[in-house]
Amino acid sequence: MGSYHVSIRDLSGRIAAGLHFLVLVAVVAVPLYAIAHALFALLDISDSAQLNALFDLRRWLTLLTNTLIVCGIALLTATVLGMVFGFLVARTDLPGRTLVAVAAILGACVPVYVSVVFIFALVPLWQYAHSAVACGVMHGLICAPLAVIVLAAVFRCADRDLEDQARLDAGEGSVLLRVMIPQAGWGIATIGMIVVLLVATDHSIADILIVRTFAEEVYTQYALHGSAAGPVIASVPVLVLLAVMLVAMQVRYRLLGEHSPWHFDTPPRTISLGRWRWVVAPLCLIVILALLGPPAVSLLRRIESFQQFVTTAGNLQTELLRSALGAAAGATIVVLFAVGLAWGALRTRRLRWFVCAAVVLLLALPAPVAGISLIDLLNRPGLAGRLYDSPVSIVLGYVVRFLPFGILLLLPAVQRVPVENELAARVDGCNWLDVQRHVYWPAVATHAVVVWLIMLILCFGEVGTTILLAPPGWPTAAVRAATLIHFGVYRDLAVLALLSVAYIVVPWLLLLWLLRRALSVIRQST
Amino acid sequence: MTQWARVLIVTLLAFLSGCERQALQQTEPAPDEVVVYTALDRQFSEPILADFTAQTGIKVRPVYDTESTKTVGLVNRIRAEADRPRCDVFWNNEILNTLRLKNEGLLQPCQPAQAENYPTRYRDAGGYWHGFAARARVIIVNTDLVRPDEMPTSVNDLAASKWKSRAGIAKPLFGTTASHVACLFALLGQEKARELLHSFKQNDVQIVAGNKTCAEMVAAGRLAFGLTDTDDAIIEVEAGKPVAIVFPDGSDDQMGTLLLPNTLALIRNCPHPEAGKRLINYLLSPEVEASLAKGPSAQIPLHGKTATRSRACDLADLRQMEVNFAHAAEAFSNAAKFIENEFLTP
Repeated sequence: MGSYHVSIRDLSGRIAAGLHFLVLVAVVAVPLYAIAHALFALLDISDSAQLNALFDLRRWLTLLTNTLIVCGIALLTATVLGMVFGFLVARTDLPGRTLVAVAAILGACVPVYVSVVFIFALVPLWQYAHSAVACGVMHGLICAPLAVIVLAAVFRCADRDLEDQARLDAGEGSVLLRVMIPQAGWGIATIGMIVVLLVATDHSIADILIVRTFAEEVYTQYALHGSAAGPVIASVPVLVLLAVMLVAMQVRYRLLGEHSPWHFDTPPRTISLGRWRWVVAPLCLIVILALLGPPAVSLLRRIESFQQFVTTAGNLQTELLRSALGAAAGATIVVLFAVGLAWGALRTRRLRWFVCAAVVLLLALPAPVAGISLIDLLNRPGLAGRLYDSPVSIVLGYVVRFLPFGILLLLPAVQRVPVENELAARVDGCNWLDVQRHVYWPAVATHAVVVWLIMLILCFGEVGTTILLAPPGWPTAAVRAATLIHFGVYRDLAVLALLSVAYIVVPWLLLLWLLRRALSVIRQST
Repeated sequence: MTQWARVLIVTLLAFLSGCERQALQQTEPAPDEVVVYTALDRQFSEPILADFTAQTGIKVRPVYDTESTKTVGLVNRIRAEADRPRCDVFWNNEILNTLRLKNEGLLQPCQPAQAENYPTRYRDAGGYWHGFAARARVIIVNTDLVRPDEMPTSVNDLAASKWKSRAGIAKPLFGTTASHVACLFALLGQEKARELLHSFKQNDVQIVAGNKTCAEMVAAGRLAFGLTDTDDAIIEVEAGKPVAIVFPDGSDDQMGTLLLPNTLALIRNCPHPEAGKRLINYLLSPEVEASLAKGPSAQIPLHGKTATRSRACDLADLRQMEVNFAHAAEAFSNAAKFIENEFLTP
C-alpha cells in the first residue's frame, strides 16, 4: 500500500500535523454527536407505535426503491452523456471540442439550485410529480457536465502503448471496447460514486417532485417528530451504501495504493473521426443547445426588461456578495486542510483508516442533521457561542459538509507525488511542515486551485445546513433561491439564478486565464 | 501560485476577523435590535419589518424560512437553541407549531396592548401566543372542468368517487395542511378524522408539493379542484385563470371553514425581550393587518379595528370552524402518526 510510519519529532511539524488532526477530530465530532444524540433519543421513545413506524419495512422498501431508481437513472444518464462527450472531447479530432469542454466546465460550475431553476423555468413543477424516473433524469442531466470533465480526463490517462498494441492485434474498432473502456473502469466507477453520492444526499428535486427518497425522508422525520432519532436512522442506508462503494473501489482499483491511475505523461493518440466529424459536430452542438438554450431563454423571458434586471440585481447584491465571501472562506479552509489529510490517508498507516472512516461518516451526514448538531455543539457560552452568533458558523457548516469531498478530490494529486521526493526531503532535514510546503504543495497547487473552485461552487449552493446556521440578518443566495423556488420561476429567482452563475463563472474564467499563463511559462522554461 | 495562496489566506483571515468582530459586537445584546424568525414569506414580511425599524429605530435582524421546510426549519432551530436562545420573536405563518413550542416550554408570556382587540379564539389566555391576519383553508375549483351545479361545498367532497384522482391536497406533513389535519383530529375526533383522511387516500386524492402547486394545478386544469390557502388561490383568481374559490362547510350543519392565523410569540429567555414585545405589539396593529390584507396574499384581518377587508373574503360572511387550537396541537402527534402510516407507507 506504500504507507510507512511517520515520526514527527520537530515542534512546528507536530503543531502543524496536530492541527490537521484536531480539525479532523472536530469535524468528525459532528456526525458522532448526531449518532449519540439519536441513540439517546431512540432510547427515550416509549411509544411502540412510533418505534414501529421508524422501522416499518414497507416504508423502508419504498424509500430504498425510490432512492435506487433515482440514483440508478441519474447514474445512467450522467455516465452515458459523460462517456460520449468525454470521449469526443479527449480523444477525437471533433471540430469545436474546446467549446464542448468549456460548456461542460461552465455547466459543472452551476450550483444545483440554479440548475433546478433552469429546468423548472422550462417544465412546470407538477408535470413530473411523483416520478422517480424524472427525478433521476434531472439529477443525471445536472451531473452530466461533471461526468464529461472527469471522464475526459480519465480517457486522457489511457496507456498509449497498450492501445497501439491492441490496434495492431485487433484493429481500430476493437480498441474502444477492449482497451479504452476497460482501462477507464476506475474513472467510470469514480464518477459513478460521485453521482450516487450527490444524488443520494440531495433532497431539493425529490422534495419538489414529491419523490420519497432517504434524503427527503430526513426532512420528513424532522417534520413528523422533531426528534433526532428519525433523521439519523434515515441516513444509515446512505452511510452503508457509501462504505460499500468505497471498499469495493479500493478492492477493485486500489485507488489508495502507491500508484495513481492519473498520469498525463504520454497523451494517447487522437482518433480521427474522418468524414463523420462533420456529422458528429452538429449533433453535439444540437445536444448542448437543447440542454442549455431553452432553459436560458425561458429564464431570460421571465426577467421582462433590462431595467427590472438591474433593479432586482441591485436588491440581491448583498446576499450574493456574502455568499461568495462565505463560500470562499469555506473553500479555502477545506483545501488548506484537505491536502494534509489526503497525505495522511495515503502515506500513513495510523491515520489512513481514521481519515477514510471520517470521510464516509461525513459524506453520509445529512445537511439538516449537520446543522442541528452544530447548533447543539456551538450554541453555548464562551468562544463557541461567539462563533455561532457570527457568520463563521456558516463557514464551519461548509467545512463539515465539504471537507470529505476536498480530501477525496485531492487524493489523486497527492498520490502523484513520488514518495521518494518526500523521503529525500526528510533526509535533507525537512520537518513535516517543510515537506508539505516544499514537496506536496508545489506539486498539487494547480489541482488544489481547481478543487478550491469546486468547493466554492458546493459551498455557494449549500442550503440544508446554512438555513439552520445562518445568523439573523445574514441570508445567503442559495437560501433565498430555495425560498423562492416553491412559488415558481419568477423574476427575482430568474435574476438570482443568472447572477449566481456569473458569480461562479467569473472565478473559473479567471482561473483558466491564470492557468494559461502558468502553462505558457512552464512551456517556455522547458 | 504561492502568491495566490497567500492572497487567499489573507482574504480568508480578513473575512474571519470581520466575522469575529461582528461576533464580539453581538456578545452583549444590543438594546436597539430584535431578532425575529419568520415563516411568513419574505416578500410579505420584509417591508413590514422595515417599517417597524423606520418607526421605532429598532433594528430588525430577520431569519426567513424556506418553503420546502416551512416552519419546521425554524421550529427545530428554536428547539436546538433552547438553552441559549438567539431568537426574540417567532412569527409563524400558521399556529400549530407555535403551540407545540408553547407545550415544550420554549415561549414566555407577554401582554401587548393591541392583543385585546383580537377575538379570544385567536390568542392565548396566558399571553404565550397571539394570532393575527389569517388565511382560510379553501377549495379552489377549475370552472372549466366543474359545472356550477357540481361545485364542491365541503372538504368531504375530496372523497367523492365522482372526483376520483381529480382532487388534490398539499403534502399533509408541512405547513397549513398539517395544521388542517390536526384541527380535523381535534374537531371530529380521532376516529372520524381517520375515516375522512382514509377516504381521501381511497379516492386517490393527489398529493402535491405545496399549496401553491395545488392552486396552480387546478388553474392549469390538471386537477378539477384542490384544498389550498386563500393566499395561493387568490393569486390564480387575480391572474384571470378559470378558477373559483369555495369556502367549504359553510352551512349550519357543517363544520365551518378553518381560519389559520399568523402567530407571534416571545421566546423564553430571549436576549431582547423589551424590543421583542414592541415588535409584537407593532405587528398586531391594524395597520399591519391592513397592509397584509391589501398585499398579494390578501390575508384576512382579525383585529376589531381594522377597517380594510381582504379581497379573499369578509370575516363577517364566513362561518368559521369552531376548533380549539390547543386541542389541535395535542392531537398533532396522533395525526402525524396516522399520516405517516396512511400517506407515507404504500
